[in-house]
Amino acid sequence: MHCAALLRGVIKTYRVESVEVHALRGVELEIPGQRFTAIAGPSGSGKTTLLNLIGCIDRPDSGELIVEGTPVGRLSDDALSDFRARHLGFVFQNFNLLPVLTAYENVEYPLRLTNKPAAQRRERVRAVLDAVGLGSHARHRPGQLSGGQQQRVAIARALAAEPRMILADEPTANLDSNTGASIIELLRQLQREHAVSIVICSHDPKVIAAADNTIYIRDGHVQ
Amino acid sequence: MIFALAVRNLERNRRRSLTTLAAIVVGTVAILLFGGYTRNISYGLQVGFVRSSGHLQIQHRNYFLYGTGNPAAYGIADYQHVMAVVRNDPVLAPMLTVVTPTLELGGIAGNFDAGVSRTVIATGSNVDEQNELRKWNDYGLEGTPQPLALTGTAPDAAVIGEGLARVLQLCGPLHVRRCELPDGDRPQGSHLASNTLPAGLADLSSAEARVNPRRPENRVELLAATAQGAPNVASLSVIKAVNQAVKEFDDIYVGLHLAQAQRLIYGAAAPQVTAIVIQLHHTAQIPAARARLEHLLGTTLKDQPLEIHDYETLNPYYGQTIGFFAAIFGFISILIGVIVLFTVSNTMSMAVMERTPEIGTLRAIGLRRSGIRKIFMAEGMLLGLTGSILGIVAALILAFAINHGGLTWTPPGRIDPVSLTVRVWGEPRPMLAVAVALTLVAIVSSWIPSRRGARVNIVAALRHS
Repeated sequence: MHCAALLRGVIKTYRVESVEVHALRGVELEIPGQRFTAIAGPSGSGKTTLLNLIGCIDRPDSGELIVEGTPVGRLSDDALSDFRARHLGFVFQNFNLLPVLTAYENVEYPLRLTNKPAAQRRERVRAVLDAVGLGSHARHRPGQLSGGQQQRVAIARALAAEPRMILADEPTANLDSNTGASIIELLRQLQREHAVSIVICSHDPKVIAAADNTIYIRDGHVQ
Repeated sequence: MIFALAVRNLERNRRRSLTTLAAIVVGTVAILLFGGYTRNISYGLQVGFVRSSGHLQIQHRNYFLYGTGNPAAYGIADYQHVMAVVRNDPVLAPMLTVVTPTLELGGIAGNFDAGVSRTVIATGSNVDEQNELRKWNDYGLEGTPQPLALTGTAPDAAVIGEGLARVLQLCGPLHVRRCELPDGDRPQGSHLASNTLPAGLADLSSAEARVNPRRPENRVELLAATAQGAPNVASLSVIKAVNQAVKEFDDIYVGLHLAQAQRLIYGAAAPQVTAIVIQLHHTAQIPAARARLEHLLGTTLKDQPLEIHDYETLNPYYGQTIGFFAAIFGFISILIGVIVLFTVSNTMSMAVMERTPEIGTLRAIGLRRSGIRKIFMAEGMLLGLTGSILGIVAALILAFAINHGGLTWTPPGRIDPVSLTVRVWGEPRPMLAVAVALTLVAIVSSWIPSRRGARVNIVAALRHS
């Protein structure tokens, strides 16, 4: 089994106005690949910071970070963007779909970033939209979809470029419990079908219950 | 995809996009209408000068700087030969419309009966060829120029400026307007010919009066120095006073037949001229024609001390006027450019601010910073391009309305009002230039906000609300 992410002595400190916030204090962590991993902890514990670092949208102040075998700390901004486009998918708490694009176009966008040919894009978008059960909603814009449907489109978008890892930040926080449960079920199912690593940041007990393994974090330390 | 995204994003905030477009449209219309107006003035002035002094003139070397009013020293001796060489040159011939000689001289014009005189500049010309010269209309200006008043007149006929007619007290016979001078305002000695007329002119006039005691009341005597330096007088029949638009010129202008002017200066000797006026089919042919003339002056005509001047050199007023309008046009263009710059910049800044979470999302899923810049700059470009195109359409409609609205104005250097014309239609280059310039301004003005958007921290952008 390969390692999805490896963190060695990772420190991350934020400065909020004049106050220093120590979000991560020397984190040592290994996240197994092709597993459904949950990061749990109370608010302000540093779980979102940890997810952002693993997702390569933030950089540690010190320490080593290896994601899918790549020491990402040495990559330039463009190289890091390309790395995210090819190897990582994101699901956000607020869905974060582009409101001016249809569901189809939202899912297609990451494929354009990897310069996939149009025919392959079409085939892939159809496949992932069908996989999340929204094949018939391809022409709908986000504003015409419910919260659950929007999150399904976001999951399809995260899956589209066939990433090695999907990072989800509180994906059920803005959904009712039934819809949230169905989203967790969908993520779980897709993780198995596509053999992708999913790292999900949540304090939802249902998420934690569904995870293969759970990382607990408190005050910037992994428990 | 970038442009599809840009269009949809612009549609998101329709009111703001329309306001920005309106600023660009108004700017485009203002630039094109004022540009069309100044272009019409430029063409009008150019046509006026080319109709009177041609595109190019061959003159005796240094005549332009040192010889004005001195035809004796700066005449072109064998001008018929020079004209023949020019007309028959195989390179020049296809470019030529008219080649005609003129003779300009300084002298004193006097009205014997009224006992008044003043210094004048007289121009002798070939009237038929001058009328041909006046037909040039390469820019399709409205109106047909009237033939010269000297057309079909006797060899001793002359035309003078209205101002000169007033000075010479010829208002009555020549029907000059605004010419009633109260008795109390008459200059002292105006009835004492010997006190006002130069002695030579008075003597010569007296001699003429003795020979022809029943002179018509519209005759004037023109005194000039001959090529040999002796005074000579031509008795001219003034057939009309024509306003010359510029008062200083109007007060001294005398137009007469070339042969008459040549007799006055050269007498029985071989006649000369002070300039050979060359008119071309198109102004754009000036460089080629000039190069060929320079070649001829250096080869076939190398025995003659000649030089060439174009209409811009001969008429400095043209360059000054064009420069003046160009300065105003430049100022207005810069002003509008700055307004468009700030309007688009403000619009794009608002867009970047409102769409910061989207920027974070796009960056997170792998779009590079340059991709973010492209998205916003594409929106700026679309605003600039759409605004320019709509502005061009609006300017064409407004120009059509103005050109057909019956408005008139009197341009500088003219006496009659002309229709107010704005040249927009048929001038693709200015339209293209304005569209490209304003689109570039819009792109540049969206560059700073787009750069700011591209540099935003991804985590902060995703948290932005």
